[in-house]
Amino acid sequence: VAPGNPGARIVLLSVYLMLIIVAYTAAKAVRDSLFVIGIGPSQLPLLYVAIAACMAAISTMYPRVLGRLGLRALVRLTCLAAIASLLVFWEVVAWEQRISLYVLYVWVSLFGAIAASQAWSLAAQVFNAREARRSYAWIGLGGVIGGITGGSLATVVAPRFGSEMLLPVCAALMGIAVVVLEILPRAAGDGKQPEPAPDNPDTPDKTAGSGAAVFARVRESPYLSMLAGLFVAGVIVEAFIDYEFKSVARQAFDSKDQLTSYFGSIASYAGILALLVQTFLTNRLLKRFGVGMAILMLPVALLLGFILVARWPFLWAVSVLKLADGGLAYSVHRSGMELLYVPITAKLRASVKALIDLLVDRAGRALGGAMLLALTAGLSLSIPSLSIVAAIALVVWIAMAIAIRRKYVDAFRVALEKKVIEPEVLEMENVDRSIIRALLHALSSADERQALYALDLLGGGPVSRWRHCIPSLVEHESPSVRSRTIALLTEKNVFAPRYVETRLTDPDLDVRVETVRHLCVAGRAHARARLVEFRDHEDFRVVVAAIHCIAKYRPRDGDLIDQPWIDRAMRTPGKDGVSARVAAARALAVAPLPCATRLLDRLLRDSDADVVRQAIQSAGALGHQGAVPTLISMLARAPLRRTARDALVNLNGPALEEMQARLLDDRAPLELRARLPKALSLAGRQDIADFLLAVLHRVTPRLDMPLLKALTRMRALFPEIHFDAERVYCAIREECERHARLLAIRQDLVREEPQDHQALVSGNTSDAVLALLIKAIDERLAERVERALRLLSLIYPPADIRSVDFNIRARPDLRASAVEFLDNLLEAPLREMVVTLVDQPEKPAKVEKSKENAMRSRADAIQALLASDDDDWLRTIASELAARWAPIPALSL
Amino acid sequence: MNPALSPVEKVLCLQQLDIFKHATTEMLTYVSSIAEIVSVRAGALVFSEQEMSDAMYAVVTGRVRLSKEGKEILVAGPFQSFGTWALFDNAPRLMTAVAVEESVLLKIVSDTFYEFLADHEEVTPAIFKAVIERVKALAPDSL
Repeated sequence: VAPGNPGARIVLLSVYLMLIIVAYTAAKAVRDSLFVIGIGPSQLPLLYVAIAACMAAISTMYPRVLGRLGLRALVRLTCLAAIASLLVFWEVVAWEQRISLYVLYVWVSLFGAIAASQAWSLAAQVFNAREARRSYAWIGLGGVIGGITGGSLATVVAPRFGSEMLLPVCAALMGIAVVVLEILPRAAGDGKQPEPAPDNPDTPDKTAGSGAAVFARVRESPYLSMLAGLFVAGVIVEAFIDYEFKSVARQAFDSKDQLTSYFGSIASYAGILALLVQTFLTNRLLKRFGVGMAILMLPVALLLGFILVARWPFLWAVSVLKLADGGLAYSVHRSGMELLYVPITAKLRASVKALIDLLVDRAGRALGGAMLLALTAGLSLSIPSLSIVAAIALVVWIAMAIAIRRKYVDAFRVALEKKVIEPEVLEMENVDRSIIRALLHALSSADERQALYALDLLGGGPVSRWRHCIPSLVEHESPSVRSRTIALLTEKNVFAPRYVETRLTDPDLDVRVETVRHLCVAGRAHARARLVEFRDHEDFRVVVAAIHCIAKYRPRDGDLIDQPWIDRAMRTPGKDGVSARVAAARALAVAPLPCATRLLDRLLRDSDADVVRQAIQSAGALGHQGAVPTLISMLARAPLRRTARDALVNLNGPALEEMQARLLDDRAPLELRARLPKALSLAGRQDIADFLLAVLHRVTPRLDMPLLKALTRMRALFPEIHFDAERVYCAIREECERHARLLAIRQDLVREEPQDHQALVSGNTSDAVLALLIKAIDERLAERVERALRLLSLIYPPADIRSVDFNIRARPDLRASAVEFLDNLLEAPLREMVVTLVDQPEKPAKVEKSKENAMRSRADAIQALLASDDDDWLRTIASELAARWAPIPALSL
Repeated sequence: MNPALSPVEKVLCLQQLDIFKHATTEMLTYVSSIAEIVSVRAGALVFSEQEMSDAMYAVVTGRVRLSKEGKEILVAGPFQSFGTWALFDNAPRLMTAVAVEESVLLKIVSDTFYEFLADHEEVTPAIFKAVIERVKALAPDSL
């Protein structure tokens, strides 16, 4: 088996599920026959309640066991326990102990539910979301074949070798399942997929809220309440069907082996019926009649079945009832019920499904068992009477199904408006009529976003569904809708040149590009000839679109752009001049012209920003290294900055070296140098990270913050990059020392007038410049703290440091907790420095010269600021203050 | 001739303005670089009602009367601004501004301000914060 081969994984998981279902179906036939012959059907309702209770108990324990063991180990353990149990039951049932039949009955139900659920959890783990879509149908097919095979196995084996003999056969099948399980990790690659998988039904989405909150949401929403009601009705009626089927069968057969064979054959036929319905009927039914009909099929069929049993309570009638249930419940009904979840947001859908699986299903089964117990043991109702009760329940079910259909359409419409439906959830190939109608309604919306959203959803299915909308969509007032429609038609190979051709002169360039592409592709064999036709078109708007089309979709036709064409474009005067030069700039990236770089250099100096922007992109795409100095200089121009940055990152090697050199060049303008760290950081290279960290505190202080921001960006975008902890430590120490020095200066400035401290800080003093200086120092101190935290985030989890930073700055009540957290997070050498820095910003961090600093006068403080060469702004204010104080002898500097 | 103001003096004025209350003093030095100094005589018209707005003003010295349909709304004194929303909406002026006495104003032109923000993106969050506070104060229940 090839490692990581999805085909092998699909086959293995299909076989695994098939083996489990074969074993379950055969074991179920055995336990049913042994129980109804040995104990009698009257005890069945009691067992329905017991099974529901056991499942509820297991549901509470299961996640804990899963968390402790992991999914693979738990699945293996379940299989081995099943093998051992089956062998034990094989031995024990021979003793004809009644209790063993009760235990066997409950055990088989639990085994079926757990093993099947585990198989799907395993599938969710070994397939990613993209693979899951195409593989789940095949795995499900394995399950269906398993059901048919298991039934057939019981039909064949029981009459020849005895019913009990099926138990070791099932154990052997489970043994093969264990072997398949062992091969699976190799087929899945390295077996290191994260577990449990996000969609694992055993671990419902914790972010969706508590069980009580979800229950409250279901109760408040009429739609969700009805959905839950449908499930409850289904499981209650299922209990009635099971009871009546087994009771009547018991009356018809005296031999347990014949009974096993009968149960097996019914299971097998029901499986075949389900397969046929799902293959040939479900999609057609959904497309023609919609979800409403799909969810009505089962209750209507069952109603007729129960009426039949009420009138003729014979084996053939219950067989029809059971086949109707088995054939429809797991095909068309299930598909219809799944569609009912589509209008619910993904988060709520996961929680509602979990609630229905864990609570509604169990409660419904227990309720069904209790009702049967009351009706049979209490009221001693006969099979015909029970059928009438079931028929009444079915009428309620049918009424709910009709009501929810109307709610479903409303809910879908709202979901469409709110855009909560994810395209991947809506399988457009199988979608029902009412959804299509709602989507078509949204498609005709004047709201651009609504129409685009509907177009995206419909794009997943055949164009025939919205073919009649093509003329209006191609003429839609929104250019985005027009271009998306034409693009979709092209992608789907649906050619409508009659409608599309009119858009060749569309005012929007994207629409024209898509039109040219569509008309070329529609021409099939003559695509290139049509492209030449558009390139030489008399209307320059078409020519520009053709060039953009070549660049975007048909780079192989780049040779159609020749020197004369470029010259013509470059010389085009008037209103078309700019679009012509933009097209030329774009064309140079795809046309193999020898003078391309020279022409690009010319276009990079163009007076129009759009032309320059396109020339920058082409220079990046073409790898035009000669343009690097020009591109670097463009980093200082805001409108071109982003494009230039992307192009430089594209150019990589020499461009990055040049940017590093410029960053270190003191003669380069500071405005430009400040843009270089970010551009460099986007390269995502380890050597760049090392360079940026090494440069920190080694060039002008004005670049420290851009450098730090670039480093933290690299940390966030490229988690594989490593930062030298020793260098980071040195940088943090430097920040702390600068913070301490500045804090000492600040204290000297406010010391001489302690009574005016608050006044100075709040700016209300007459000496406004001094207040400004103190405010500027406070800002610098806060900036030092921010820098230290940014540095910390390079070597500690960034989320932790961000959280500390946020709580210190924005939530004073949580400041102490944030500092305490930092105290516990940091290691010894850093802890004292950083915690002191963030803990008491009004007090100086411990430095060796703190006493000396304490003696400094205000004049000395100003002198210190004037002498410092690392902060132009503080020096400017200090200088202004010194000039104002100069006439005062005491403060003369 | 317009009087000269040092960067510190410009910052002292700008830091009093509501719109720049969250900007650091260093950011204000950058803003001061685009703030033109305008001298107006007593009685001079700064702008008139319904005129297209293109700049905001801050009073450095002197006083400016703001009136709507001839009715005085307020008199802006030193370190007070007027026409602030012009930075954002370019809508017609709601009031007429006339200098009460000889005044020195700082003028920040909207287009220049946007160009400045493109080059100094670190200032943008401080401006947003002030604007959002203003909006919250105007409609506290809706936010």
